[in-house]
Amino acid sequence: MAFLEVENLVKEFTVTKKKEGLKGAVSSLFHPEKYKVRAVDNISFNIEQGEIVGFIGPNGAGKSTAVKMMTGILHPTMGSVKINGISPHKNRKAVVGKLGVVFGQRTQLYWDLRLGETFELLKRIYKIDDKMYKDNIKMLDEVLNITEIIDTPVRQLSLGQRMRGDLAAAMLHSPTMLFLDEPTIGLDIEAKHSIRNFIKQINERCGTTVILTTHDLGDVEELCKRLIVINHGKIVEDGPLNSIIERMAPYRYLVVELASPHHNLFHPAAEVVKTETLRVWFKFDKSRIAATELISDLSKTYPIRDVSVKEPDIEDMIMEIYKKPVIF
Amino acid sequence: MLIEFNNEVKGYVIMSAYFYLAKMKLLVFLSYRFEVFTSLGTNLIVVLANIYLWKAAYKGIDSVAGVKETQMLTYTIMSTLLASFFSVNIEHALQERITHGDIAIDFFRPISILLKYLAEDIGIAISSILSKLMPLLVIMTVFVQPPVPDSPMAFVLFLLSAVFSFLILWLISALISLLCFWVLQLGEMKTVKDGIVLLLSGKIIPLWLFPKKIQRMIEILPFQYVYQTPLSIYIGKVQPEQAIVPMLIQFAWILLFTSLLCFGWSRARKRVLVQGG
Repeated sequence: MAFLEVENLVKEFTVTKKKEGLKGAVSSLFHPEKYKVRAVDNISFNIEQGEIVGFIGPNGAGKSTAVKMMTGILHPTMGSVKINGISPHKNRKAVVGKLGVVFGQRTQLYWDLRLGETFELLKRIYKIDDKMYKDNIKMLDEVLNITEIIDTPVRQLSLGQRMRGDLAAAMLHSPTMLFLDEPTIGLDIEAKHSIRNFIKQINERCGTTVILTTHDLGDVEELCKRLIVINHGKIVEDGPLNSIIERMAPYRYLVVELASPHHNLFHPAAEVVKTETLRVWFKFDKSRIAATELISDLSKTYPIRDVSVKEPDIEDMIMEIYKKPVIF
Repeated sequence: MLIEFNNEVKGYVIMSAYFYLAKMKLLVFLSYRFEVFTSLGTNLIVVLANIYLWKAAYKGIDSVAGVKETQMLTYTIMSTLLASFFSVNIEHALQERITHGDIAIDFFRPISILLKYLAEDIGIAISSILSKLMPLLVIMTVFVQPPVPDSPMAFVLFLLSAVFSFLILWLISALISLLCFWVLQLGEMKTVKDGIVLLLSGKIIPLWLFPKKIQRMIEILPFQYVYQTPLSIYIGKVQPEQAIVPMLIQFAWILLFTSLLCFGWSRARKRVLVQGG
């Protein structure tokens, strides 16, 4: 049995269509035109204990809705979710006691009070005993430097500090699974780095399963071994990051630096995608031609000073996925 | 909620979360010092207007429906004190959290959501005792008249009845705020409810001054049990031995509203929408 089991999950929303203009607004008031939208359309997957899974997809793809159903906030129209064998919809309190959550765009900290006050409250809500509380604060202090901000009122914290506070609050009761909804949104490079480091650390130290939704591909690249890509409410990709890149973007780039300017560069198996004065980018499919072969072909005809091969990055891959139309 | 609640009566450890929620609200509200002065100002104006109204009404009359002028003044002072204590915030809090999508965080906590809001409202009520009720009581005692209860027994029963009143008022507000799950914006619902309570609860004008027919109609509604019941006990209009009946009715309303709330909550629970991503 997998740690998190999601089976044939569907969520439909009823949306009222708003008509144009004053006349339309009045008519909508009396005869609302309603139609159904499938935000999540029959998704199934399993997640094992200790995985870090990236949940990605364009805005409005349904990933937030899916996460909210997995955590028991939303009731699914159809299908089921089981965390450790228990449904969060039937037995909310039993399940959420073992979950942690951080929303990048909203805070769970008490705005007007010092950060430590929220921790004290959580200690009581999750029935954390004194020893575990002390140990966890110590651990969180090592990775997040939490004691330097614990006495500051939350409203006076910077976004990065607040995020550290939110992460610490989510980990205080040692949850077995952590949901992170865009945890690095709006943060500077350094803060992003420390948050990613934190996620890695708790995954290694405590074996916490992490589910991460993000638009920041740096997060995905650094943290997630497995990726679930959602588009139009369906899962379009699910697998290890590397193999998705391999499949979605099988091409490479060869960057050639010429000794002297040269026009009309050509090779039958590669395509010139970009040219600067002395630099030329070739895009080639590595199943059609090997990089060494391409280099030797080119060096025979052109005066080449330097070459480098560039792997497609995750951004190229995501663009490919998002462009792909969904077959219904 | 009842089932959830039963599971939770396991002792101090679990209750301490609700105590702490109440304590945190207490701390937050005590930090708003400016509000203490503004609300004191408003309450003073209201209570003084009422006092002069009753003084004028009683001119040349000894008693109305068995109530003397000093009793009536005590009634109106105590009514203002109760009103400052009955600050119920759940409609506002729940609507804010639903429209901003923060309700999601509530669902993540392994505690009862309704009890969480009750605990917070109790915290606010206790902070009101310190920040609103006490100053007003001192000013009234020094400048108008000390609002003395009819007897020590009346005072004790008044306290219990006032707690019931708070619960009735809270449950009515909680039921209204459940509508948020369907309509997202309550609009003027709270104002309408406040208006009805103001008029039909005896908060300003005791119901014994209303025409008999209307009195009978109001009797079947819950509102008079919010203000008039504890206040009548306090001034001795209802003697301690007669108090048992209205207090039982108060209790019956609490039971009825609690079961309605549990039922409504189980329905609302399935309708949760989270706004904003």
